[in-house]
Amino acid sequence: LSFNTSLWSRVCSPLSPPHCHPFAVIALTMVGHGGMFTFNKNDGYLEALVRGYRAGLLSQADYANLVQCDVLEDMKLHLAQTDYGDFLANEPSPLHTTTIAAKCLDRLVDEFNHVRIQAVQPLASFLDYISYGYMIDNVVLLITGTLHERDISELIDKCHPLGFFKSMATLSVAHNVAELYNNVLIDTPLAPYIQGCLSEEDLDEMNIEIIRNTLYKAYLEDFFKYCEEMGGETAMIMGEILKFEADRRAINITINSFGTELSKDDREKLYPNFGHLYPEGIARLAKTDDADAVREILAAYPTYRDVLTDSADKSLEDCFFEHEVKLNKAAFETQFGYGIFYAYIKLREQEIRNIVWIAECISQQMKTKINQFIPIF
Amino acid sequence: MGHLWRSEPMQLVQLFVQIEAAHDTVDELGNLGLIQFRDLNPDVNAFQRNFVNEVKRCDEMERKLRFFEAQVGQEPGVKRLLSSVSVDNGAASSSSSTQSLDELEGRFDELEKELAQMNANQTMLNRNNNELVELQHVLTKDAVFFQEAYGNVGEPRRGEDARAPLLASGASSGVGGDMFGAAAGGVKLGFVTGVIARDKIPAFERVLWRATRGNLFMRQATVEQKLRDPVSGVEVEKNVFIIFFQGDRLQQKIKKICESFQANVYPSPDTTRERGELLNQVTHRLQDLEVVLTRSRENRKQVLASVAVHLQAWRTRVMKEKAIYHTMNMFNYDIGRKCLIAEGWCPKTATEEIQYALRRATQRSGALVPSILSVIRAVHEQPPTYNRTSKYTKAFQEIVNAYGIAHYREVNPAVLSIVTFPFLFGVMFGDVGHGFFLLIFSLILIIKEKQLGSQKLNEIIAMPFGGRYVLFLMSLFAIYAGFIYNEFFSLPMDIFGTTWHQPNSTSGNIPDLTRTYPFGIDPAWKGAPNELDFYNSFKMKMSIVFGILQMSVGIFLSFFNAMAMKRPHSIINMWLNVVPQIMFLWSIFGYMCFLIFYKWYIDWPHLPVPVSPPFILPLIIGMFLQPSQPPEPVMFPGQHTLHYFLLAVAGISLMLMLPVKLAVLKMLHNKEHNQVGHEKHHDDHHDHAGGVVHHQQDDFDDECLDVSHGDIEFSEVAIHQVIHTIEFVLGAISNTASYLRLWALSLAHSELSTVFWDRLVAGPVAGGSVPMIFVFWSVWFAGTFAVLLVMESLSAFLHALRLHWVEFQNKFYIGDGTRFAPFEYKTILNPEEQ
Repeated sequence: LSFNTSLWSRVCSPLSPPHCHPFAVIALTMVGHGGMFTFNKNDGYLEALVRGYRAGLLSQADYANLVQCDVLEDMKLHLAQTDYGDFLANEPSPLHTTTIAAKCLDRLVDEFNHVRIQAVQPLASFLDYISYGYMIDNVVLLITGTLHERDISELIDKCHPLGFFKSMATLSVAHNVAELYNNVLIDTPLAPYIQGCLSEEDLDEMNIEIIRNTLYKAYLEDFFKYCEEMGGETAMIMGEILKFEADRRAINITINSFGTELSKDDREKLYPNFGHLYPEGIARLAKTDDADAVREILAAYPTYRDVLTDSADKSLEDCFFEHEVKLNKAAFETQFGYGIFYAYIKLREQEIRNIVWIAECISQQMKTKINQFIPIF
Repeated sequence: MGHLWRSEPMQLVQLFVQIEAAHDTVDELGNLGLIQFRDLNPDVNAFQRNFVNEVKRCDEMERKLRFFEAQVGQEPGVKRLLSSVSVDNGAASSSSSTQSLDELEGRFDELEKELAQMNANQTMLNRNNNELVELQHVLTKDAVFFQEAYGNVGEPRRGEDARAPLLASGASSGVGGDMFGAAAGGVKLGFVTGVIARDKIPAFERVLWRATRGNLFMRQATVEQKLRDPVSGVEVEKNVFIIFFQGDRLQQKIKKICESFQANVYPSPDTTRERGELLNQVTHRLQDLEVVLTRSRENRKQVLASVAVHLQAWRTRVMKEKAIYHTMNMFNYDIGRKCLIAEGWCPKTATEEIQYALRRATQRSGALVPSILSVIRAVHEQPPTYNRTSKYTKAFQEIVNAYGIAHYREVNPAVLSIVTFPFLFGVMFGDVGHGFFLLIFSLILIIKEKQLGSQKLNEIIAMPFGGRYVLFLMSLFAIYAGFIYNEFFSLPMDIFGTTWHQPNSTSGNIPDLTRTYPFGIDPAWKGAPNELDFYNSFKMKMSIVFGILQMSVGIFLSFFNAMAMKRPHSIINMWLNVVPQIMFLWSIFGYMCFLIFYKWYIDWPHLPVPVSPPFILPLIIGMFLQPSQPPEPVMFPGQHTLHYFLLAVAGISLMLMLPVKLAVLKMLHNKEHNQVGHEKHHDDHHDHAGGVVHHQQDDFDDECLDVSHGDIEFSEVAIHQVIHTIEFVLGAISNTASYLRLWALSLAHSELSTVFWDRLVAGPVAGGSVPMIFVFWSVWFAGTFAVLLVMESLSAFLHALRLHWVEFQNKFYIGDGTRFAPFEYKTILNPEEQ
């Protein structure tokens, strides 16, 4: 029965052309790209690999042990017993939190690249889509850094390695958005995204934030569209995750814009055009002036009502992270979809955040706050 | 043999060691390698154990050693030193063991600092060197660029200012000419010159073009000399470039782009003369720097050489220390009495040696209180299985271990495998020629044993090398079976003179009835029209006989397991398991074997009343399906009665195995259930019907394998027994059939080699063309080697393995033990051996 219903839901999804015979659609979902029929042939190995990686995520017991550590060397000793292995073995004592973070990230990047290199289409472009998000962050980081006259090589060290692109360093040459586009971004996959905010204005803090959000909006919409076109489990899982991501961005933009020069019209332009909040919630968000109103708007949506109920002692950000972890974990419950690749990267990132948090608490002797991480499994 | 038949009797010992003597004690025991320590703090985190700081120190030292090794590895000359030293590390390690860990740590620290300092210096020097080299290239290439430009203009004007508006105009033809011609309009041209990695050139050009909207002129030239990146040490190919442009804003922009592409921009003087001077200067400085660099490199090499000599010994030392502290972390630390309490398994026979090692350690450390060894009663835990092996028996033991480690003190199938395994292989691989090649190969491995054993082998060689004695026996049995089948590369050998002769060409062969061919099969069968009928019948029957024999032996081995159990389980297993099993097997398949021999024995054509010989298989099937009908023909008087009797025996044995045994087990279970209250310390034991065994330490009787029921659900036992019985009965048929693989593989082997010979050798020889004979002979040899010697031997090995693991061992082998893994330096230092 479950097989039937899941298939049926796919058949009846708004994507399938209405004039198609249902069985033709079933056949399509099975044979087409990312369909059940060819999934294991093309992506089965990598899926298995990622599921294996997922099994290496730290467990509750691991966290329970980690929070008992007194110095960072203890963490190293414990992490050596997990899947992290001897990743810190060549680091001289005393350890620093930044080293741990960097090494953790290295591992994530290694894993991602390993998967990316072996992926075939359409998984390869799906994975590329994941890296575009990091590219946007890198672009913004570099522009901001140049604005503050930082050294370019120092900035590049800070960039997320998943978002590297070739002509990255040249970003420092750009003085306005048009130059940015014409000199650098035109070669990158981000080129189509920036076309929405081309202007001859000089770059400043405000501009950069707008660029970031415009890029991100365009990126999310494109990614969402791509996943929807792919259909099947990918559309289902990624749809949920990306809708949440879009909503989170909208809410964050709204809250962060209070008390800035950003006009409401400009703000509305930055909201992604999909998501659970779209369109009514977005329209209401565009008109709000204070945080309480935001909360009120969100209360109308069951997903976010649950997310926000126990937010008394947690920041909104943590609540969102928690919800994100929940969604990403759900991705592993399904098969024949690319959601798990995205989810794994996000979960691993969360784990790195957790490790860094614990390490920071240990190195700064803030043991009381050490439990404020977000456990995954 | 005794120690191979069953695993060593083990005992659980407790050691009380003074804290001062602990390190030396563990060290001595590590050298001895006869005790497997139990982890007494399983609940304690790795970083909360007693000696975690020492372990961390060792980790740190290992890291430094890795750093040294990496440094040594960068110097090819010194690296050779390292590998030559590692061969005789024995002497070196003994000399360094006198050094204390603290001294060693201090030395490592100093060395690391020294090396780091040197590396920093060298990196700096290298960077300077690279910069100078690059500048040199820039200057020489620039000269060429300018020269070309002037050349194109047609007026070589040395000493002219490059920025000055040039005079030449319209007559110019080349690109450079255009450039300078434009400049002639009175605009000042600036230029930026430098060096950039070659792979960045396309992107660099593109960005430059975009940033300046095409208002630039760029020339580039390759630098032939590869430059080593001072930080990463990778060789980089670079290009010299020179960019001409107009205006200051562009200059800024271009410089920024250069910076972002990590291009090194060098100032280049405007005039040729100045450039020449600078070039001279640079060359001089380069020479000076070269001297300094060589000296510092030599210095570094010397330091590294002194490190390389000790590196192996140091690593051994640190690994030992780390192992010692890891082991000590498993001990209980009694703070009040200042002593460590260790528990571990050791063979009973090793008590003396351990005691002696303890005394030595106490002496070495100068502790006042001697260490105490006491034997304690085992907890609810099966002792580890320890089979002492020699280099000869080891491979056979590993074949068994690959299936499962023997239960503690159960009969070890490896003993019989030493003969049966190569024998069954030989049955499938029977060919004198092929066996001879295998023999030579195994002999080479055995003769070169010492030489090969001391070096690291690749996986393909290491596998046959590990099993060289197995291979040796396999080849002997293959040769033996080859003589029986009378096959030498598929050709029959007429050694004793065939008993068949051909009196004239019209009639067939006539046997000489006065004698039989003394050994093996008469060569006349080869090539006879009924060759296959004969060989198939012979090999099939032979397979069945060997199969029944081996399975019977398997059941007898379970008899030995049952014998070693405690009463009443030994009785139950003996009479309700072993005996019915053997009765069942023999009543059907034993009878079949008897018929096979009987049929061979009877001289059918010369019976007083000649009858055609019966087919055995239909006869056996008929015995089951229509027991009331007498066999046709009756082979011996009373055969029909015998059938009734055998059927009855099979039926009775089934009864004994299932309902009777269940009833007895139930009775026993009830009885024991009542006793549980009194003897709570009885272990939970699990009946595996085949004879399971659990060592109980109550009276510490090692020769005893014990089975007793604890609180186990009776229904579980019952289900187990039902499954086991069905498995046995079905298995008796399917396993017997499974032995037919002996025939199948042997047939395939001989057919394949016959085809190879006929097509590739006999055919061309008959054809008579000599070159073709050479060509086909080499094809035949290659085919024989690749297909018959390599692939066929692998497949025969695999099938022999299966017959042992499945058909033979499932009759008695439990194989749920754990391997005895003593704390031993040898295995820690060479983890691959084992």
